[in-house]
Amino acid sequence: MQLSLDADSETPIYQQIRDRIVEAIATGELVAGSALPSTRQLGTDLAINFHTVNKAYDLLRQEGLIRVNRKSGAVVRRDPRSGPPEAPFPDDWQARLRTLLAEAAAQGVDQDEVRRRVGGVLDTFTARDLTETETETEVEAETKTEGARA
Amino acid sequence: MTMPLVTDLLAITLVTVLGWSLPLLTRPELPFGVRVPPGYAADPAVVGERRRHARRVLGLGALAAAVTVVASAAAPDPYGTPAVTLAPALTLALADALLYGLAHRRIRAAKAREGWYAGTRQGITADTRLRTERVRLPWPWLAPAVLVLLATAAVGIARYGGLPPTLPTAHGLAVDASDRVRTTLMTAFAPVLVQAALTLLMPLLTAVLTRARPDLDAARPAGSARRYRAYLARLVRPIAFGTACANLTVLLLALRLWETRPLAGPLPPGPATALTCAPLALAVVAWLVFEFRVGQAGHRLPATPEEAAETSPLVQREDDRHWHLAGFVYANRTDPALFVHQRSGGPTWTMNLGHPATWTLIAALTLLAPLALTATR
Repeated sequence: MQLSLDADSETPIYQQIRDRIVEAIATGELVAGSALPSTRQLGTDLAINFHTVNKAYDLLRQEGLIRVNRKSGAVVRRDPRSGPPEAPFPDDWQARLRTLLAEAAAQGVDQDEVRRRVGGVLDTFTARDLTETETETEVEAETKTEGARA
Repeated sequence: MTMPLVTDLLAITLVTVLGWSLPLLTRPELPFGVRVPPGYAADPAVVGERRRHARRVLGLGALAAAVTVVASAAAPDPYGTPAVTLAPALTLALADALLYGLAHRRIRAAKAREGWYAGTRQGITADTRLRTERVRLPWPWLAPAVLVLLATAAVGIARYGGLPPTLPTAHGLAVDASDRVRTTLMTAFAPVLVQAALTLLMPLLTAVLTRARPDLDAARPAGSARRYRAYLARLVRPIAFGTACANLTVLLLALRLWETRPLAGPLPPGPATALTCAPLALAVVAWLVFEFRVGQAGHRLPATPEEAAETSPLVQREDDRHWHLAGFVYANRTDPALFVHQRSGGPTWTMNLGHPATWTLIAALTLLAPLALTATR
């Protein structure tokens, strides 16, 4: 996965790392079982202290998205196909979503515009899933055709 | 034309070609070791500085050659020692280095004056797959180097019984038949030991360097990562070829030290030394071919249509304040990287002087060098 950090952003670096990894899981770039680099390797590649990467991984671990152990390192634990999230997550997420949507309403963004933008973002998360499903279907169809010819 | 004059003119030509080509080897976004945003790689200030530098280097080279020829005609043998013989080339190298530094300062000044980074968002990018799915290096390319080593060892073993009581000594790649040492297992097989050290060290160094921080561009994250993978996979080839060439040079030197015909005997020392150098020259040619076809971090590899259209809201972070001496020395205490890609001078790496391990290594080498010199005397 490509992990780009904005040095001029007000968002802390650890939060940016956490956000990029969550987005990569949502778009299907990272799936359950995908390995992540060690904190030292990622720190070296991004020219930042490995404690910053550690902080991002710790957040993701607390959210249940990755697991970290000494032998296998950091590995993605959940992805969109892992089933419904655990109990407190939907309520916590809704509370954060409320604040986010309130920001749009407070700034005067039209509700239809909000729906359109939310839909656009959601489409980027499901696009890869659809592409993979289509590819799988095409491969299955080709296999069946070849089987029928044989 | 005397031999010292020919040597001087060759050295002047080599220094001039190197000085002229150095700015061409670096990436477009790093003219003279200065980081510039992608849109400014072809800025008139950069293009003008490139042209001015090329003119000055070629002019200085021509001047140095003319002065050397005139001085040689006025005083046919003004040279005493080999060190003095190379004085014009060394002076020229110093002048070329100053010209490079001057061009570096001018571009930095233009960048600061015109605010080239104003309004940009600076960032840094990493590709996690370069760590989790490592590039498989083509190690079989090292087979020729190992074969040359084994061949040298075999010739050495076959020749050892018939060696004279004393052997000539090597001064660089030249052999001095009048300065002789007693024949022992150590003196006779010294070339094989050198080859073994090279054959072990080069893959080790390659393995370490290919694990160094990838040199990616935040303005083209996907394209630069794909090209970096291709660059890593190809990097082993010139290194392995260079090791095989170096081993071949040592084999030719060993044949002269072991006084094996025709390298020692009918062939005069001059041509014999030139023949010994030939494989190394071939290795340099291979490096240049790699440099002009692949380039540092693979920047010369062609981009796919998707990569050419790739856009990013970020530009690579401006980090000139950590680079010193016209972009040749890197010192950043907050950067955990030990090896970083060199900004000037092709596909090479440099050590981060802000890293404690660099100073530990420098201290160890400073302590070990006198011990090694004492041991070899």
